[in-house]
Amino acid sequence: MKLLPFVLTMALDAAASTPKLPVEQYQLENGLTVLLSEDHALPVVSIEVLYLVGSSYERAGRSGFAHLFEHLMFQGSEHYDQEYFKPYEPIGGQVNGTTSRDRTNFFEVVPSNYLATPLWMESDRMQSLLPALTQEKLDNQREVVKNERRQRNENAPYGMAQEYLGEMLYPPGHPYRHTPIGSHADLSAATLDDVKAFFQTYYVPANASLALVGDFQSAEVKPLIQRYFGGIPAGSRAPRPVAAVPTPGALHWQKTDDVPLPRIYLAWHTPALFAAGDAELDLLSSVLSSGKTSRLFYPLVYDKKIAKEVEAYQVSQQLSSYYVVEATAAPGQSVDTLYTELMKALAKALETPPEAGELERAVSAYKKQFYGRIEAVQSRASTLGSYFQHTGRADYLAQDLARYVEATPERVHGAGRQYLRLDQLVRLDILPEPKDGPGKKDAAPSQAGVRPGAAKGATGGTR
Amino acid sequence: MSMQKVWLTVLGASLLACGGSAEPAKATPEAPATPNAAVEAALDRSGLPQPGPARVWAPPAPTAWQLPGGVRVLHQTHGSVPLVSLYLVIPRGTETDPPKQAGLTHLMGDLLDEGAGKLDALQLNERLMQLATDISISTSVDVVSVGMNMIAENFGPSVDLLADIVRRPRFDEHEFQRRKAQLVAQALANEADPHTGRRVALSSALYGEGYGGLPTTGTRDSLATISLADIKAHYSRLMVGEGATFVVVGGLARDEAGKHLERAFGDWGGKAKAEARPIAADTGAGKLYFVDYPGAAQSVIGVARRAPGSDAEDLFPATVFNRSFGESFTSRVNLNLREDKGYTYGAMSMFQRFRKTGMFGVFSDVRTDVTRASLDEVLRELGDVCGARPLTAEERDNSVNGLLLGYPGSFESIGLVALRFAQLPIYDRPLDWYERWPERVSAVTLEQVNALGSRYCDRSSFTLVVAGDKAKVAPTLEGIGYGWVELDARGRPR
Repeated sequence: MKLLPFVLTMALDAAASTPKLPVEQYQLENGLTVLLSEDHALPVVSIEVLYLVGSSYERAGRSGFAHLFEHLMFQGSEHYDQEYFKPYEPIGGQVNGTTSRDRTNFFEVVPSNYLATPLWMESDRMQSLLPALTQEKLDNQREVVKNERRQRNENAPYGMAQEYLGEMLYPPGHPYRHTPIGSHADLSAATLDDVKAFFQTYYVPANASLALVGDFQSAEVKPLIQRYFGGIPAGSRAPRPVAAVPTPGALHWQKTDDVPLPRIYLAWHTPALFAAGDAELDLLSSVLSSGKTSRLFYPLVYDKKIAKEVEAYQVSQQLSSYYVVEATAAPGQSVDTLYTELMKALAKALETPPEAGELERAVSAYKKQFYGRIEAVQSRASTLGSYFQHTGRADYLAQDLARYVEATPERVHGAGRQYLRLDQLVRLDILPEPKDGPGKKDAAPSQAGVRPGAAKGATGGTR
Repeated sequence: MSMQKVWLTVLGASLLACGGSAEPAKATPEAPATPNAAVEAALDRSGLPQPGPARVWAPPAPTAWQLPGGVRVLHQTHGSVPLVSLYLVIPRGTETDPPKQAGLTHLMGDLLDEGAGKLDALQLNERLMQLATDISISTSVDVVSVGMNMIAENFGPSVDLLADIVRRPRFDEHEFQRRKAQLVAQALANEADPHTGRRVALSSALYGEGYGGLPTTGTRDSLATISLADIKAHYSRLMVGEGATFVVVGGLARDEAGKHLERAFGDWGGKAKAEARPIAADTGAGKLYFVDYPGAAQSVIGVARRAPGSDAEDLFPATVFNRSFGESFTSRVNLNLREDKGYTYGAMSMFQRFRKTGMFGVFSDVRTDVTRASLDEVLRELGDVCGARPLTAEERDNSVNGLLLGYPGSFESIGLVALRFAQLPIYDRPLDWYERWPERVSAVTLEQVNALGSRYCDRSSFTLVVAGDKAKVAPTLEGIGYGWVELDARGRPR
């Protein structure tokens, strides 16, 4: 057990107890970025291929296309024209993909002696997906994705809220206006030509990274990566969508759903992931709603019992983020009372900087969460990919953690004052539908989204 | 290690499999089955690459000992981060709720950390957050478990808090009223989710009010009947040392773990007095239970029946069978309903195993207009697998290999290992259960797998459940051959 000495070290030197994620980063000649991180604790290896494209890159009238495309990547390639899940099941592998507004990833976890299998398969679909593509596959996956939309959004209580928030926060034409799941109409409109153009533009080595984490020897795996991926034509890095940070607005929508309790969402625009203020606003979320004595939970849920639950969270994204305070009414409380009390509690919460103890608790929780992120190989691979995507450097864990550890009460307070303006917020109420009301969610327009507690900004797994 | 290096040098190039292993590779130099071939030769796309030699790995059994009062400890140092996952497992659960007080055990467990020892609910919560220790109290049919996830250096103070929570809960009246109202609100909110409707109907059909039945978190009606005196009485019956086990996994040495547990729980003992409800007769076979969700965008369906509990003799054949039939992505059920028909985002089968009984079923969320077609397809797959199309040798092999090869990955994180060890005391399993698991899976034959499947042939032994839009779906279900029962989302007949 290699852990024991580590624990003893910690006892001697508390500074040694910072999470570490060593990584070697390099590029193939065709521009594919490779991220390698060895760990021989278990005979397991994870690989993640990240493509720098998500639903914010979609053209008008094709919402949901990046995610639909992700599904098609599992339907076979030129030299393996079958379900891409199939080879992984007899080897006990895990395989999936996810699509967010900003990126699409594909990952596998396999026994380490099978590492060549995902390398072969990922490189084959990166090189030659199109020869295996058919209208039939497109039609079938279109149906699967529509069912995914029904299951995750339309048929789930409050499941449409993130979609409404997108429409409220972002003006028409903004790349973040719609969420990755897309609308039924746009999904229906997707053609084989769309698929081909998308593949040729975005699914190229120069627009991708490949992370390997786990039980392998770097010196041995590099030639293998070169062999499988080195011959794929480079393509070019796709430009990020351009959008002005939307002007803050004051907007109030009321929507109904088949839910028993009203819920209010308040939302604001906040800085992009890793920009100044991003970490401070995350810490503010803990101050507002983590624990019984937190600044919103205590007055609303514990003391006055006006809310059944309250949660503050930030959805951090590449171009700009948004911040949400979400409160569900306790039974018997009206949405108006809830709103009045919520605004009162929020105004008070934002008035003063966090006390030392409040901030310390929030930082400790983040520090523990960072250890959690580097425990398992797949989570490590996607952490590396995310750092590469947003900063260009996979070796960024220490800097990322430092943003939280070094935050001051004044900066946390300042970020709240600056971005969570009570006179410039978007307010969405989800109200219980009248009992004899019209059929519900079928009529609702477009898209789906990110739920609190999910990885920041990620949605839409293939399974 | 040195043997392996020599062997690598002889072969001259890369091997992906051997890093860090002390286990000599099993392949011989004659075997071409290594990624070498891929590196040395021209890139071959004619077939998937062959694997390298496997690195043998099996999970070591935990170390076990007893505290002076008789409570057992299972411990393992694990992982590379200074985190610790701790569970206290008490092998008595919601099976002990009185028939009219569903949710009693759950509400009792919920109240444990709402004030304990010298700390009231707010102070206790603040103290846990200062330590960055997460606590989760969970109750299910067979067990109450208290889990803590913490930074290793905070193990001692966390265990002291755990002792307060488990041994000295305050059960303050105002916290009782607050949490009861909260659980009632949660029950109300859950009713809006058709998955709740399906769960409630299935439980009612298969287990009735007996063992395994009744909603574990209670209903609006059952919670209303529970008093603080009921909670306190139930606590003394249930929350004693008899049969209890601690599980400690992570960056902490045995002696350190033992020292703190002994300080806080060394004298803990006592006899349990709670009794499980007896198993009720299965009243759902041959019936279709419908829960109406007007305007629902999908139908949430289930096709299920009783099956043996966790002591089943056919546990391992069932595991292999289920993986091929409906658990994996390329299983028959998912390929048919999702990839072939496009009816759903996913469909799967599963065994639910309580200690004394259980259930086997197929579950999916399907498009409203293909609800009937989906039920027909599920019934057809169930019929085929024990008739016209039994599982093949290839399906059996794929399942067995997948289970074996995926096994090490399921011991990756401290939390996963602790959770696995926490199953041992619930189901009276020996310490070498996980060590021996691979050999038991390997031993399962195709004959055993299909014998297992043939136990689930009789379609009249199944219950069908649909939670969806009655106005659209009910007319399509005519002539399906199952007796109609309608419930609301609280499990009440309509």
